[in-house]
Amino acid sequence: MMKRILFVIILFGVPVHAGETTFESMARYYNDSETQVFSPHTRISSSIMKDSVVIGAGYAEDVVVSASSDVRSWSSKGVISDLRKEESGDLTFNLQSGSVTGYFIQSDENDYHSQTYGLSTTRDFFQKNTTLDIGVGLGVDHVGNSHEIGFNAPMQHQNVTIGITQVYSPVSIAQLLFDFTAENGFLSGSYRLARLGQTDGSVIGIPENSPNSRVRESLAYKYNHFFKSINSSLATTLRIYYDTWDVKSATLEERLSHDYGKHFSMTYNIRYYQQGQANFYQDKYDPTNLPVFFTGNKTLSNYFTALAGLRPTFHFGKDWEAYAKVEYYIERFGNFTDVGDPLNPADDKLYSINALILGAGFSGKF
Amino acid sequence: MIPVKKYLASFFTLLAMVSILPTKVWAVGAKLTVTGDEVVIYSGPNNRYRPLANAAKGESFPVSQRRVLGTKGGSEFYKVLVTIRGGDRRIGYISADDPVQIEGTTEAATDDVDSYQTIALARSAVQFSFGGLKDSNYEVAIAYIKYPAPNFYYKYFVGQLITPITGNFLGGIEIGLDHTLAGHWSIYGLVNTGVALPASANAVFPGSSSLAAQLQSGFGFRYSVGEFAAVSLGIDQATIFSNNNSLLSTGYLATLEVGL
Repeated sequence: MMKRILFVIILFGVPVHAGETTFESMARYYNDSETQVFSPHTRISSSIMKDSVVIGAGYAEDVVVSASSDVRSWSSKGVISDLRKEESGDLTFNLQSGSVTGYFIQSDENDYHSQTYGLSTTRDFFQKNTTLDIGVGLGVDHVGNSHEIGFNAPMQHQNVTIGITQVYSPVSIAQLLFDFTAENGFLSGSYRLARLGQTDGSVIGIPENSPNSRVRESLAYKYNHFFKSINSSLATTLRIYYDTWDVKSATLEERLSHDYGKHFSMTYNIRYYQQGQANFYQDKYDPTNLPVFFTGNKTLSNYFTALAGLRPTFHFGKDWEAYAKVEYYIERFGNFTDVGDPLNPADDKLYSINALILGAGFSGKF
Repeated sequence: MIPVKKYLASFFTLLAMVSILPTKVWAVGAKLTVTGDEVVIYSGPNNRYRPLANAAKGESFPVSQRRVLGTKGGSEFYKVLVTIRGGDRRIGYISADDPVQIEGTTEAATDDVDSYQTIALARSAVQFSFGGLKDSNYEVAIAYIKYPAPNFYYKYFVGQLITPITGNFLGGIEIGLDHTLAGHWSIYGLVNTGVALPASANAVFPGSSSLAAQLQSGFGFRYSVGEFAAVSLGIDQATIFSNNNSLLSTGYLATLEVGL
């Protein structure tokens, strides 16, 4: 078969000239004392046919062990473990003044299967100082439940992104990015329980019931500037978000990178996120006045997160780098409580997370 | 004994190789160089035609020595040969008033440029579209479409979303990128958004009221016949939503453009 392909290539003169290949591999470890997640990730891409086509592929895993409040209070063992595998592939055609990319992502875990298909295109204007991106994605998910054989709830999502990137000067660049995602189908957690507060202060859980439609919109502004005098770059990201469940949020992130000589650089980053609750969220519902929709999802409550991190990078060879990452992350919930023992109201307190995130990886071109 | 099979195999292999040799001898004799700021290369001899590409200062193109009088009373244009990434060559027009410089005078190059066919594309057009979505839902629309820059367009549209129950008004705006591939063919990506006005409650999806929003996106291929028409066929995905529910659907979209 290979000979036939080679024959066709030689006969018809298809110019398959291998070009640049980019390789990246990294691993990330998250630990908040209740949940540990190990996430290795690898990606390779290569340009062929005089750089007019780029083929890419990736593989990622999330190995999760959790005894968080969600799990501890309601699961039979008090701890769960899961493995998520993700395979991806993409193909980019570089055109006259832009590109067209198609991609596919398959993600599987014990009780969740997802396939995402996407197409995107870019176009450069004004001598490549302005770039317009349009991206389209379609996802088909199937939600399972390991406690209920045959449970298979579908969920579909559509995604559209529009981005404008503007080069202001050789040292500054900005991007405005609009993201639209519509989800339709089973949007509840297949295990997650909403809490019903009882008159004696105890709590019982019932399977949550979320609306089957959610439309999310966000707008992000990114600005990067390189300061020659101090050999450093500053990247600022501001993102605002709104959805039809009335969740509103804002994110502010700053990243400062400084080159310490030719072979070593350090990136310092901080991020702050603040969110308002969904319109049907309650920490504990009144069983005598239960609304149509009720949830136990803590990410639909009022909360904020903050992150601070360091990323030392060692540059070697022509285009290679190796890096490490250390981040400290907190979540503080305003109206989601750690029920603890459902029968003991005394140990009920606002939930919070303190997590350490470690990472290491390398990337390069050859 | 003559090895007939071997002979025939060699003969046809040689024939195939000869057939893919370049049939045009490229003569670079006369060239146009952009000397000022960025200039627009149009697909036809008038700035009312669709922009084909932008040329930056210093860029050069083979040019015909014979200037072309602009259509519809426009000024004169230089006829240049533009190489699209991938090797495809197309005729483009640069206004003689633009800051350009002509070098060389060979007739061979002029003849070679003139041997390519002009595919003059309308800068603005009326577009008729028909889309089929899941569950026997259809869309028909009429639009005004304009290409203000190379490969980029915007359009205004009004139409109907036809469900098995009733017809419902759709209207909005769209932006798209239309990349030239080869010859008459291009590939496009689009996003449009606007309002949907369901004719009655629950007409589009359970819970749909008299006002909903819609956002659609798609990719496909377009064949531009010339100045007067283009047709396209692609895949389409549609979201029609209100605060309490939504319809997500996929399907196809076919369009016919008539140049103005």
